[in-house]
Amino acid sequence: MQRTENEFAEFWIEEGILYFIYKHGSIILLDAAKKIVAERLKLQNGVSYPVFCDLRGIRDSEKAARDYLAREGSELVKAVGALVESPVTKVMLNFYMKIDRPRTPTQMFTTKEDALLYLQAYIDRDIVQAP
Amino acid sequence: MNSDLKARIEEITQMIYEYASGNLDYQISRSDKDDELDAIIVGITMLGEELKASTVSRDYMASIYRGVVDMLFVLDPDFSIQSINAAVTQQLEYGENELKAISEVLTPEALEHLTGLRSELDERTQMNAIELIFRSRSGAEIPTMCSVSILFDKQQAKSGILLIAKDITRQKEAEMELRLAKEFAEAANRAKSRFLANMSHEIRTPLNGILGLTEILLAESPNSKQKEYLEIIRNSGHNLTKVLNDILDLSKIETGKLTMEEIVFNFKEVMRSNLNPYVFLAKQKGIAFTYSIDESIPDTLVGDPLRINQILVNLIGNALKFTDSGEIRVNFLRSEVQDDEEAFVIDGSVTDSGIGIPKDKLDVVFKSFTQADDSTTRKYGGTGLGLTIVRSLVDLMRGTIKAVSPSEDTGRGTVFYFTLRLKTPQFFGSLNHVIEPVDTELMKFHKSIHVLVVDDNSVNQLVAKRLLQKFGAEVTLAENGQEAIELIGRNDFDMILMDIQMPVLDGYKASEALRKLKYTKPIIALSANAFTEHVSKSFDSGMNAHLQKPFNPKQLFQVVTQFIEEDAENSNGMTKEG
Repeated sequence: MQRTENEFAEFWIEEGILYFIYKHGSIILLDAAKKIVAERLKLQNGVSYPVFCDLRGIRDSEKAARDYLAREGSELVKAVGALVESPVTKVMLNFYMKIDRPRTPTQMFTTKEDALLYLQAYIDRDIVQAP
Repeated sequence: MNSDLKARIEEITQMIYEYASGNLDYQISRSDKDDELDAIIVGITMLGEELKASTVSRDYMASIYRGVVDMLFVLDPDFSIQSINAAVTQQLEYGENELKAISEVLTPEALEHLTGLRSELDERTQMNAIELIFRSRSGAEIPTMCSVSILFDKQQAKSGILLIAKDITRQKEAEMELRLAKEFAEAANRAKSRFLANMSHEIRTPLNGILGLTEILLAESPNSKQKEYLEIIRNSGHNLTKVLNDILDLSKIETGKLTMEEIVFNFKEVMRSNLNPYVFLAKQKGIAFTYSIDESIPDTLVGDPLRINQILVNLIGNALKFTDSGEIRVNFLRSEVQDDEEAFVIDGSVTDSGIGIPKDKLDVVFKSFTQADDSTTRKYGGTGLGLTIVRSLVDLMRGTIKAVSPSEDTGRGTVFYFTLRLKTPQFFGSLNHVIEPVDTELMKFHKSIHVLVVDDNSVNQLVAKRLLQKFGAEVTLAENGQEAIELIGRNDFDMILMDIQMPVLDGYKASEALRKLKYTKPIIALSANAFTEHVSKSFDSGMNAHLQKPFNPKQLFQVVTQFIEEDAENSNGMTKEG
């Protein structure tokens, strides 16, 4: 299993799902958003995946970064199951979904299990790799 | 409520107040608790960022709107108005919030046009160059050129329509002025043509008398002094005829009515016949005149020999006029460029050793009423039409013409190079017209004929009568068409020479009446009317030929002889083609 890690997040592909975990205290500015998307696309190697996105580590984000993620960040993404915990991340994600309107289906969850269950419907069984 | 919580709520309240006051850069720090109050702070901060972005965007767009002098409408999909710019309020005289829908300011036709474009606009998302007429509050109609485009929101959903309307009132007025000017120019041109036709007729009629009687007097053994004066009269008359013909040709060129005949003719013989008189004219002036015709040029070609001669008359006439000593040389060569299987191209040139043309005037001389300079006109005379006509004739023959001065060979004078693009007979059909030169010494009809001359002008009656009698014909005179019809009922004429413009009954009506009365002998128009439509009208009224005044004895003899010969072959009557 190939894993990628940078100063903002670590991500890998497992059983047809791309796991994307933001590091604690991450502040996402536009340059960070661009770097994150570029490295994610490199890992995916042209294949679309449903994405489990753990947002609990995000401390803050700027508008330009959110706009970029809503547009360019949707490339090769079938759906996003976003995991939040605190009231702050809940507000951030709600705002992102209502105002920035990402192009791919995005849902908010407070448990990892519910998020992965939601993403099952989007897994392409032909390309699922053994762990 | 503890004091910490109270302080944080007060901070949030202040933040909301600042945002409401327009201070969107105001920020407060979050605690590390990530609790509900931090969530409210994050939410208000994000909302502030969005508000700031849209405010900046709105202000930016508003400044663009203000700068646009064209009317600008942001419309909902149903054409109701979202916003307008200042140009709309200024030009249509409505307040900023008065207008609710674009239909209020469009004419019914314009609204129908715009509505009809709706589905195409949805498909193409942008359309340009749409003409719509707006109507202001005071009822003034404003023609506009519009561009219409679909507006999209951040999610690429259609959110409205942008219509930009440019006032084209001045452009429309200019178009109208241009159209009126064109109509005026066309009317003026028609009036000019009518004037030329009338003037031509009025000059040709007396000119025919002058030239005809001069010929008759010259044939009646005048003494040497009388002969000299008569020849001056004849030359002056011929010069006047040429000027008249040039002016008429120019008029035809300007109206696109000048056409080329396609006649099978002997090129070399016709050229020699045309060129020989210049040997004597040049000799009289003390200059040499030579010409050569390439042996490889076929004898028989198809084209308009009269128009080719007209080219030569003008070019050689100029050469004679502007050359006081030396020589004039005319050459016809088979062109090396034979690029059309059906055509035969001839390179012609007229070279003189005269005064030459300044280099900067070499193109100008081909323009109407233009000579190299005004002193040329004063010293040598001329209308400045000849070369314009020559160039048009060459153009009609799909050829080219240029002037070179001084001559590359002699270093003086001028050379006019031109090409004639003629057809070869094998691509043309039968030899239906062959021009045969007439020996002026043998101008006697070979049979006795009785000719009725119908003309209201007594001088022209006299000219035609004397010439025809000289050729051996018996002549009866009539003063108008009605008198001619009455005479024909009592006599057996072999031919009628019919003037056109006459009192009581004109030549056209008289001919029509005679054909209705089953008169089958030739009727030849003798007319001072010179335009193509007059010739066509002569044929349409039942005449067989059209001889234009002023005519010379040779032309009259030729046309009458042609019909005598055909009458001999076909005694049952004449055809239109003769």
